[in-house]
Amino acid sequence: MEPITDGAMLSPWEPGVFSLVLFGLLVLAFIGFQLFIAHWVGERKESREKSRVYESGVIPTGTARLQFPVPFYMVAIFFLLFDVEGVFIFAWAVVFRDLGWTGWFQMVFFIIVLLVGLAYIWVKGGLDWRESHRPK
Amino acid sequence: MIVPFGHVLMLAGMLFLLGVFCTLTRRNLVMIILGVEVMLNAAAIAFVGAALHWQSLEGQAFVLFIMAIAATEVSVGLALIVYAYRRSGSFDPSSCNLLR
Amino acid sequence: MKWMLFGPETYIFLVAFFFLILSMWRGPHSEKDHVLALALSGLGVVISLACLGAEGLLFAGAYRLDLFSQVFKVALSFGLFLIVCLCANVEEIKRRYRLEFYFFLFVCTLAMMLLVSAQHLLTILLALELSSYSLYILVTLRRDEDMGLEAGIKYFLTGIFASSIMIFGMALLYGATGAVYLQDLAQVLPEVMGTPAAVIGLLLTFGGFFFKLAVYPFHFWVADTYQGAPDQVTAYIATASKVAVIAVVIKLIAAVDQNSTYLIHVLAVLSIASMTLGNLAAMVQKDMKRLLAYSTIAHSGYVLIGILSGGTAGYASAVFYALALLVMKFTVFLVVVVLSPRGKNLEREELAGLHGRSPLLALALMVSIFSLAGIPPTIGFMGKFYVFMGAMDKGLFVLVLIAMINVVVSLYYYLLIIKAAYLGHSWETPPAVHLPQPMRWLTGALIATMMVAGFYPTPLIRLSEAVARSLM
Repeated sequence: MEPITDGAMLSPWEPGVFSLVLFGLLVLAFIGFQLFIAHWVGERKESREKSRVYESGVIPTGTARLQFPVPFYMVAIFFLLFDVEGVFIFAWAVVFRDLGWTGWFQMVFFIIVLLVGLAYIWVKGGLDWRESHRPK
Repeated sequence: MIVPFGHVLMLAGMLFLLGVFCTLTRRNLVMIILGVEVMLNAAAIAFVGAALHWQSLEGQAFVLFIMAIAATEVSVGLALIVYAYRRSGSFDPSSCNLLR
Repeated sequence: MKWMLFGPETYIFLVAFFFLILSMWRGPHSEKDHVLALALSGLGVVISLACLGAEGLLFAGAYRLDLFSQVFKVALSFGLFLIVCLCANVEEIKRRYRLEFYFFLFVCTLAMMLLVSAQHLLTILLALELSSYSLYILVTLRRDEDMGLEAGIKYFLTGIFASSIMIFGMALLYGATGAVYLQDLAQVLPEVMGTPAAVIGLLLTFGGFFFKLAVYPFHFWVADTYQGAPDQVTAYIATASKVAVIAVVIKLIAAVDQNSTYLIHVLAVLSIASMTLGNLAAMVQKDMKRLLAYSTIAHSGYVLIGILSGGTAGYASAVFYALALLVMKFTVFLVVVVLSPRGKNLEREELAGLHGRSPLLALALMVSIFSLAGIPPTIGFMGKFYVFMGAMDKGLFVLVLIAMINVVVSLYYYLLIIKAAYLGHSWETPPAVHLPQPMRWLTGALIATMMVAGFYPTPLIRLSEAVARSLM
């Protein structure tokens, strides 16, 4: 692969250091000011109601340390696997016109392989939501 | 590139050592895999830095594949861990002492 | 047509795909599946033989076909075929995973074929990972779940640790040289060999391969994995997988090592450590598979001697040794697989009276163990002789001396096996072993191969030298 002379292509992000530092300081000062005001002006009164876990206004029930049923972990794994596929598809999409039909066929092949994987999961019952389900 | 390449390597090296430390000292299967993920990310940082240093895109291609490898590793690892947890009821690798 | 060059890989890929589809289509039929896999892997050997002469570069130079890669592809597909021969009765794999078992075997072979041809760091990395992940799952498939699971977890954890070390090493190497093709690396590396990034990168990169090869600091997984994995999978790891890794280490060292004494010193230390440790630890083992695991570590040490001697002779001796290992390790595993009691591992004492139960198996065991120990006239003796000659030519006298001492030490536990098989008496008389006719032929052919190649190794040596030359 020939070297790339245009540095902006590898990393388009070239921040001006001064403005970045200034911006950062302003943000910090603003947050600090708000916290200070809230602490100074605000009234502090502890109560059970206040220290309760916030659940969008609904009173929480039970403990938070519950074990998720196993299908959730299966779905998480499948999501992860098929999500990463996007990394390659996006990289291909950026240079879609340059690669032409060859690239298109390669990508189709890649997706077909992944689809067969999905079909395998489906057939073997990985997408089944019932917890009692056992794979064949 | 504003940051000198040496600093990038230093950052990657430190992150890598953190990952090694986590992998070797933690007594929990999930944390061990987490440590390995950190090591992989350290390698990815080094690759991106090197790609900028040498002005070539190959280092970035490596990073894409490292992401894929990391995902595979987590899914196979989690499957193994859940399987182990169901059988032995613990995440402790030292409960594996059958083979000797 | 350039795609014809890619023949064996395409074929193995299609077969793997076929098994995946088949596993969705219907449940497993042990008999039918085995015959199918046997035929398909046999055809694979034929196809890779047909592509033996292929030469060229594919995928923008990331993939190189030459005599080196093609010979190893034949060896790999042959190894796969042999392993499938053992799978007639895969009691150790859960019934419902039989088709997936074949799928992963073929995928793993595909990955190793890619590995021996890969010229680009990324291709090497991906092929290595693909083969590792197939093996992690294969190891875990054992029916005795606790054992398989433990072996799988240990293999997996050490494996991912080693491979992330390797990836970081590759990153450092790329950072130091800016090269990703092996031939570019060979050109740039001598200039930057002094810099810490290059040295550390190189060592860490080799760490990943040494893990697969089971060389000293990365050998922890071997014994437990061999013991806990299903017998057929253990045989596969010990034969085909080792051949592929030896090939890629030869290729990497040939590319990287420009007479750098530094690397040679490191390799020599690792070689001595693995030989000694493997042989000493093997002495006290009772479980056959565990014993073979430690003997594998020792053999990795011998192979490293050939590799570090360098030059055409050194690499040729390593190639010869790899091919010899494939045959002799497989023969031992054939005996182990046939004799293993259902769902359990074979102990050394259980070999007692083997001579009475099945003279053919006892003979096969004796020849292959003699071959592993390096007693003439067997292929293993020629392999060791050839490796040591190469090292002597380079003036590595001390290394050869240590290796010789190790060979003598290893005789102890090898002879104990033979003693158990021929002179041992068991309390109750176990039934005679029934070997189906094709297995008899296979065993006979393996014995003949080991003996003939021991008496008349010239064609194999010629082949290894041609292979090594195509590398330079």
